[in-house]
Amino acid sequence: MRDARRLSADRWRVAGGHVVLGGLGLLCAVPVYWLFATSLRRPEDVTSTAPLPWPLSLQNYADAWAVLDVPGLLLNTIVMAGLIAAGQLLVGLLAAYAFAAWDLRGARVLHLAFVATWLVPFQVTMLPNYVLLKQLGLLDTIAGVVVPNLCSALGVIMLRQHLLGFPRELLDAARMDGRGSWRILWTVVVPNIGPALASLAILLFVSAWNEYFWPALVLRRSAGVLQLGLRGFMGTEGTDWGPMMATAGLSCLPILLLYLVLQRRIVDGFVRSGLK
Amino acid sequence: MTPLPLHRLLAALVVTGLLAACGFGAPSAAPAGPVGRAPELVPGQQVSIVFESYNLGQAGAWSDTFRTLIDEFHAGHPDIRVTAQKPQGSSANPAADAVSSVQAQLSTGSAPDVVQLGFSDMAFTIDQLKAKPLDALVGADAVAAHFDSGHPFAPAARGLAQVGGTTYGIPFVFSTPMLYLNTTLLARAGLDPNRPPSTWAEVQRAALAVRAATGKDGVYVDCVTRTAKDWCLQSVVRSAGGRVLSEDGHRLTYADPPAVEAVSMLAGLVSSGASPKLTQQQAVDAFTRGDLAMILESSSVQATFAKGAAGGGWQLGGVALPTFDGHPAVPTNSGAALYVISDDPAKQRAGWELIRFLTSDRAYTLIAQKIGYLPLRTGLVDDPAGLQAWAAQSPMTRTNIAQLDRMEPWVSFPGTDYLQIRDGMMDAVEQVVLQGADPAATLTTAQQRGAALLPAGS
Amino acid sequence: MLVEVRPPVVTAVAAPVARAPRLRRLRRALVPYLYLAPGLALLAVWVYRPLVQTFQLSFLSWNLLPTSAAEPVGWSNYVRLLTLPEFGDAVWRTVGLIVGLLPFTIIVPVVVGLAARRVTGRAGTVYRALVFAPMLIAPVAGAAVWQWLLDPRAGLVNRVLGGTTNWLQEPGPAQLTIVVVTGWHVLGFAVLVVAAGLAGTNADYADAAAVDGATPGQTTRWVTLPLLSPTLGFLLLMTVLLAAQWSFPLVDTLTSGGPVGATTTVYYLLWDYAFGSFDAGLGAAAGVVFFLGFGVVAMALVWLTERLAVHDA
Repeated sequence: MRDARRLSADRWRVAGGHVVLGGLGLLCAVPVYWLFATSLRRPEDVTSTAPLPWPLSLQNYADAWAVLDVPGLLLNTIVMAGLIAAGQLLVGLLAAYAFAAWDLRGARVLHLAFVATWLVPFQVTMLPNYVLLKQLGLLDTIAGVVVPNLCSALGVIMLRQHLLGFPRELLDAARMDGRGSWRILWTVVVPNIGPALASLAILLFVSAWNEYFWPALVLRRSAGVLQLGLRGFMGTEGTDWGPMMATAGLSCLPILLLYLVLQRRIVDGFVRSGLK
Repeated sequence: MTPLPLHRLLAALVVTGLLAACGFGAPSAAPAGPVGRAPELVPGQQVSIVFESYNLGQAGAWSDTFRTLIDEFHAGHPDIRVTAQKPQGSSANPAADAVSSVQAQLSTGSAPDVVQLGFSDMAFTIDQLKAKPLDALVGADAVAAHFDSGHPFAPAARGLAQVGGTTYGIPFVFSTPMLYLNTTLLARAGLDPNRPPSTWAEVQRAALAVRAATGKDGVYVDCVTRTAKDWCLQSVVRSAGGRVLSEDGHRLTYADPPAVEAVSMLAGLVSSGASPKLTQQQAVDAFTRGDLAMILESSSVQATFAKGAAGGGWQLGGVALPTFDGHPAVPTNSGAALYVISDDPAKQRAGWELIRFLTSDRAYTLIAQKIGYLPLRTGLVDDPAGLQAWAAQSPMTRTNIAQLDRMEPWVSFPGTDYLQIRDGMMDAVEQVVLQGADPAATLTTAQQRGAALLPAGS
Repeated sequence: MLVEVRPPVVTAVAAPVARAPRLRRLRRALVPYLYLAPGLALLAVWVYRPLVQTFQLSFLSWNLLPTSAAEPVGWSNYVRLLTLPEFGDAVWRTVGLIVGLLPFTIIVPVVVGLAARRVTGRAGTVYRALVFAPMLIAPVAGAAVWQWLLDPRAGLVNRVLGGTTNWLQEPGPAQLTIVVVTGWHVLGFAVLVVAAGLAGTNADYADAAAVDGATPGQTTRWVTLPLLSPTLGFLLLMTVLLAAQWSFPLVDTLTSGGPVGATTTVYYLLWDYAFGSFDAGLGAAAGVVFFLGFGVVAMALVWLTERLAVHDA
């Protein structure tokens, strides 16, 4: 008797789960859907609220393409995001390795130094960094966007957490074999934390892709990265919604595709990183 | 063997290094000398200058027109190389970044040579950004000759970038407040299209009629939010006989009775239902869509409205700034001037050449035709070889030009904190008009706070 | 299963030269710091150096232009800042934002995480993708879409809800808008963190409770949630510290701090001082105050979560 009731209660729970998740998913996705739907309408239909964009038209994309150098922007954005993600991953890995493989004196203070960067508002660091970039001659270059962002506090924290759970015995065994720490890092540690590295890399890439304020300050002569292309359609004389939505869509599309393809990786990597 | 306290050593090194390496290098005194004449360029002397304009930030007609103009300039002045750029910064509206961009570049020692900045920022441009007085750079005669060359500048426009009789900039683009009308909606509400509203009372009646007959919104006055800045608020206040800043520039006067009356009128529009509560962006979008019957806006947005009218199937009309009963309307201009801020004599001279070209008959013809801004050399609209045909197509141009005669300059607040004074005033106006706060009390409180920010000696 | 490897006993090694072992030991002790060096150097140059400069700047009155003098004014920037009414207002609004965001970063993700345990397979993947999608949209692009959706007449939100509220021009609704849109944005990330936390909990505890006769509801309340508390503590810390930063691009694009300053959070105020006005000293003072303020709050929160969180052995 009890089991039967349990079973139907379970079915209700599953149904409830579907409702909750489905409803939430829908609410979350509606603005994203709207972005693409508006961009696919004809320019004169841009203000309509019909649920489905019909007739379909790529005119907005054509307009955006004509005004912005989309392939150039796309390339710039990929390079910038890729360099930042790779750099943050490497720097984070080295720092996390230091925390995990040794008993450092002052480990708490050093860890705090990384975490405390969350407390420093970027509004405060932007101008002084801009002045330094000018002195280094890196203004208006992709390098100027990349270099100040090469250390990610989130990356260090997550990798450190993950590596703290790494079996010490493997490290000790390798050390006994006489291998140097550098070799241990690349031959023992990295192969075993592949999923975590991959998922972190994706997260860092997405975060760098969506960067706006810093590139806006550093890059100027060119439009630079895709996110800045949006600004070209807003201005003193009114907003051009059609091409703007098309540009926004173009700037989100690669990331969305990447996510759909690598979704499993991200979730698994996150879950296995054991962030407790 | 006691191990070295490495972490302590490292920490000390880092801190010492930071403290030593830091420092902004703030100057302790401002060197200032009189600006000397910039000598004429020798033929064959290569100069390259940087020109910054917020109009280059927007994709479309502006960038294309500018590019055409600069190409023509290069053709006529092969020894001068111009690099055009937009302001840096992250605002959606590049115009909002214009001044901070110049400031940021000045602080790193590489400011542009010629800049286009709004009249609202003029005091700051001259005092802090050190725009060079053109009268000293090239001589007052040369400046006057330029104003008079070809079709002369409108008399009211010549003095817009003048302070104490010295010309610091050449006014470049320019618009006056116009009451744009959706004549289709007004006709549906039973109003006579040949007798558009000319006083604020008539505007309110018309707006309420539109509301009652069609359910669409009546009128929006784009002068009451921080994003709108204060140029058209000054028009409304001046038309009521008041001022926002005293004539000697030392006192804030926007809480005086005439100004309070003007702001109360605007609040009355909202509270009576004649005007919806919208942001500037929403209002422009609504009017473009055809959901708003009247909007008081800068004539620079005319092209957007025309496109919306064509696409939405309604008729666009426009009349001059409405009057308060018993007072003439006093429109103030919005717009920008071109300034030279370089310290290098050769670049100063090259910059002057660029400015002369950008404010010539040829340039104004192109700008008017491609973008729709009013040419400051008003004789062009009567010139068959110039803009006569263009002006004939849009009757509102005549209205705009007629307003030029009654126009007064956009007054900018003095001092380094002028933005905070202006924003404080606009916040108070927004509170009164859109949030229904008490006019006299709110404006007085804001004026007192703003008065504390005026430069010492005021 | 891993086999315990006992480290071999190290026999004393005769020291042929007194200097070499000490040097080697020094080098060995330095090695971990060498790994830390790139990260720390980058932070020192690009994060902490500007902070120190800001601290120095906060004692000056200057507009960052080389053409004007910078006068030292001692503590007057701080005094002026703390007595400005907009400062206190901004702090309260930030508190309100944080409180309003907590449902999105803690309550909803926990509900979703618990519900997701039941829904597996294809459907689960699809739902997860949908919930994560907003995170992939750049804040500026997202703000542009929301601007569109929130138009009082033509926007979808009002069409569906049937009102005429101006979600961007009226103070109350504008604040609600910022909270909801920021929450929409970060929901995916919070869901992911909670899912990771749930997957990391040991299922044995829940099973033991079930065997003891606890209902699923009781298990959730007394077993699962406490086990999740370190994760929730982490999310709480992130929300408190980063809520204002997360909402910044939205405030900048959608409301510009308005209407009448209703959505000006502490970081927007900072931005306004740094880039909107030319009072660099005041902006710097604000930056230092917020840094120290958040630092104190963070330390308090960390201490609190360490005290209250339940750790699994």
